[in-house]
Amino acid sequence: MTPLDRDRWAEIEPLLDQVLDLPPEARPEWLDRLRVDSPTLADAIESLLAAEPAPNEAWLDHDPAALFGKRPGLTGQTLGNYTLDGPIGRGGMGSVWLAHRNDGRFEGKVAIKLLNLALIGRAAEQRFVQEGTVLARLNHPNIARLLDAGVSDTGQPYLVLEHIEGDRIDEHADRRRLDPRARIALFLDVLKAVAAAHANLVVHRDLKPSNVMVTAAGTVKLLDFGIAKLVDEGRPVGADGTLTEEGGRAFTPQYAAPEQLEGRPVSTAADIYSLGVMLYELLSGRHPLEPESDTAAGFVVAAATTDARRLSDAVTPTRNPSDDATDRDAAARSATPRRLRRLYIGDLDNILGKALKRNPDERYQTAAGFADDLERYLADQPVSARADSWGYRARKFARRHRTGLVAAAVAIVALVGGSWFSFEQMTTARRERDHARDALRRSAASVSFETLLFRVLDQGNQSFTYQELLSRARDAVEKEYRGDPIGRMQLAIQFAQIYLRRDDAETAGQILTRAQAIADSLGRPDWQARARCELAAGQAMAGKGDSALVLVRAAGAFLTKAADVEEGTLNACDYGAGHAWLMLRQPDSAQRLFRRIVGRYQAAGDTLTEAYLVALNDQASAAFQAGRPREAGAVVLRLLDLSRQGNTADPWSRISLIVNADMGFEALGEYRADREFLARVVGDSAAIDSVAARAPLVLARFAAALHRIGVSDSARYWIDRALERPDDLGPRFVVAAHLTAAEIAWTLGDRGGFERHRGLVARLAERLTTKGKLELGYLEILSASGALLPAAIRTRLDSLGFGAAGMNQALLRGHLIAAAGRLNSAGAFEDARRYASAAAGIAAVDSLAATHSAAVGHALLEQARAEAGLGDKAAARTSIQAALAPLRFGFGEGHPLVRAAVALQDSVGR
Amino acid sequence: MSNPTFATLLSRADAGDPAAAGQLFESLYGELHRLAEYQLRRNGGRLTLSATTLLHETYLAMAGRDAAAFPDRGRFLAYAAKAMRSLIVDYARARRALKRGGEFEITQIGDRDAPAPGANDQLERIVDGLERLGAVDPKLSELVDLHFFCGFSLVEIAELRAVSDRTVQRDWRKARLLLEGLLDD
Repeated sequence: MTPLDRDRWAEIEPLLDQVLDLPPEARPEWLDRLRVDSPTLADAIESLLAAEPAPNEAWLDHDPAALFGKRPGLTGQTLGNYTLDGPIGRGGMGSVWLAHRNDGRFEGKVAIKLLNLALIGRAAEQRFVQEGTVLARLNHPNIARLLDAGVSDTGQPYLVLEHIEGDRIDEHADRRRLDPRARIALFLDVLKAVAAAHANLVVHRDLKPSNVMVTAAGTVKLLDFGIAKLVDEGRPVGADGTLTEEGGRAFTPQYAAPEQLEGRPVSTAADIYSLGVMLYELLSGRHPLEPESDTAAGFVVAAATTDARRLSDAVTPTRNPSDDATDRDAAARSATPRRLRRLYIGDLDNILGKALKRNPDERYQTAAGFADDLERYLADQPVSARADSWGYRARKFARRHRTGLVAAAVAIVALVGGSWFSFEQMTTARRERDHARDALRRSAASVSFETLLFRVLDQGNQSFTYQELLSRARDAVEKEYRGDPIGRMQLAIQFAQIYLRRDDAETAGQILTRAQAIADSLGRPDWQARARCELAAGQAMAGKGDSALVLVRAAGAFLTKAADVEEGTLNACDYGAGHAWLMLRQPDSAQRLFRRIVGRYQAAGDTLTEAYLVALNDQASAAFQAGRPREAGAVVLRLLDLSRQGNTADPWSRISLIVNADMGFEALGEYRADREFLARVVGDSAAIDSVAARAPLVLARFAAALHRIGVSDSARYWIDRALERPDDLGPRFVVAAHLTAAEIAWTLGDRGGFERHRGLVARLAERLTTKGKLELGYLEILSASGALLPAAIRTRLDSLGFGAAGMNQALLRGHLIAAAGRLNSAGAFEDARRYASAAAGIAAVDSLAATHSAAVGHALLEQARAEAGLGDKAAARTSIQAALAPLRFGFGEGHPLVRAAVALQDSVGR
Repeated sequence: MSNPTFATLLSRADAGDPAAAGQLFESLYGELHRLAEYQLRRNGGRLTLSATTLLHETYLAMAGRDAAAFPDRGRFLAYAAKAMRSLIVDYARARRALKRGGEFEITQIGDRDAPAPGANDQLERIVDGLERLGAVDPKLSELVDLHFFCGFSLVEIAELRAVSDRTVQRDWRKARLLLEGLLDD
């Protein structure tokens, strides 16, 4: 080509103008004609045209920022046949872009959803595209169409959707001040669209007002149908069967059905629930659950624990005259609160009540059924939904009750290893009981512990930690009770109990030693005995069973000298000795003492007090340790029954019961029951929270339970909440919570978080109990890698006394399973088989029924993997066959471990 | 910078006086640079500023000093656009030389925020290509300066130049073709 200069350009330019106006297909002919007269010009133009970059592909079509080496944005990028024009939204699942077709086939704008890459794995890409194609066939005038789905060259999954311009349904209704009937009529369109999707077996799973648009023409358009499922099921399963949950589940807590929040299988009934919430809000302006806070956590808690409030109650004004919200809400519906209430009472209450049932089976079975009832309501015909009858409520109550009993039956196991909770329950209860008596006995100098604390609190208006509060209170005691040694001693015992409950046995010991000295100086044998027995309890709790027994024996010598011994002292001594025997693995001796305490309460008619419950709890604990689970179970059944009859106002005791039950479920491998149980009580603990500031412990246990069954992202949320208040957890539970957090971080692939929590655990290691050290070993197993792994695991387990008596078997079992899993991944099948089969043995012994124990299933799965790895197909077949039922029961059908087991069974044959 | 002579310089440059055109460029460049640096300092070294805004402020600043004799916006931009290009290119070079410094970014308003991949390796080629384009067809290189570097839409440029949209669009296609061809040489 001749070099281009001004003159040559002057020749070319007019010709270029001509050819550029021609359609591309006409250009060759045009060039041929030109070539006849001036071949060089034709060549020059041809080569210029050949250099023409496609639209948006030349650097000139973009931003000069490119010259700065800025990272590329997305605008202007192409995905398949679409070019992104600009972002229009961002959500949990990714970002949404306005785009247009770049091959000229379709002029309109589309919305392209770029799914968060973390939500989908490469292996799932094919499936993603296939599912997308199914959804694309979902053709309904009220559903925004999915036009296309694909995965870009760089692995970015995207969905091409009909672009809808309009308002959210709730904003649309409010802006037009639609009255209830108009709102229902509008909502019927939503229901019909959902019904059509359900008929195609497509579940939305994230229905909410921002996914329901109303166009300017008044047409309802549902967005994002089926996308949640697409994303959810596309999530990858790791090679070791763990579920990676970086992106979290695709739903919105405010509108999610309880089963979604709990991670249970989701069906069309979940959509019905979400629709119920939406209609409820449309009609009342309120959320049906009245969460304590409008946060995601608030909705999770509310959904797990409360039933929907009646619609007509939601629009009833409160007595608070300054609350005019109901007036405003009614005005937005062109009505008054009174009129709304009249309108909603009865049929609409029942319809919404049915849509919002916690149990999916009790809701409308189809969106069409829901719509049908609403249409009947509009037509003043009888509706199918009924108010809950007495019988229904009674049955529901019984069902709840039964769950509670099952929980109670296994609660007892928890007490084997630590007996922390029984101890704390005891101290709490005794404090209340004895406080009343001592207050009577002491006359002028009496002051209640609580009064003292309040006075200390009143001294300044600055905030301080609980720790500071206690130390100030102690100072106050020293000062004010200088002349009243008995008062000082009694308060010292109360303080010691608080420190014990806060897991600070050392400080408690110091205080009690002082109390003992005071009692000795007074020469009062009953008080001398009391102080020693309290100290013994502290020693027992710290694991020093022998020295605890020495103290109790010394106390016994004083008791024989005492003229009048109150029962509190006798109980304290039996209690201290009993726990010392438990520590020394002499459960029969312990049980005898605990039974004696129980007998004293029964004789005194104190069977509705906390203290009695505590004594029962201890008795059951000892029975369990003695290998008499049936006996233990019977005691715990009574225990929970009594706790329901009595006014168990003490929150710490309730928490103890909860945690005991949870630990029991864990030990028995009853993961499913455990999770369901805890989900129910978390709301309860929120109430407890405000009273005692102790709920972080339950939250931590809840997190651990969620983690066990694979809902690790939620688990992380709860463990973080629990760790926000380390002071309220107490030192040992802080360690335990960090251990849980480290495990969760590991599962979520968050190495930074894992190392951080592990570091904290290691730093707190000197406070660790055997349990804690075992847990720390678990973390080491998790993070050991490569060739070092088998050796590291063996050393760790051996050094922990693998198989030694007195070890918490549930924990040991968990670590053996983890070790086996890691060894299988590393190809060390021999070791893996050894540990897995040991774990399976422990799990089976500790289960109520082997077919219900998730732990049995998990251990057998690892065993089968190891056997398959060793080439022993027959053994692997047997193991996997046995693993499937407990895995399914414990984890649920969709759980990765279940899928992994099915896959393994497919490969080794049935 | 002696602004009283701006109008004079402009008419001499219009008449084809290369010395006047050079002086004019320097004066515009200096003014753009001064304003950009001022904004940069005021924002603690981090500045995201649209080129269009910068040009507009420069115009106002210069016109304010020479209100009576100052030319219209279109004529001003015809010269300022090239100064803007140089400014952006110089910042790009400086940024690259410093690796981390020069947090100065000039962005476009509107929807064009994505560069073509690999464009950052082409800076010198592009600078060279634009010079050659200017030698072949100053009108087209000015169009590139206005549209690409200064961020004016083709419709705005059509208004500035008092020609039809279609003409500017066709010119833009030609500029792309020609520049692409010149870069390939």
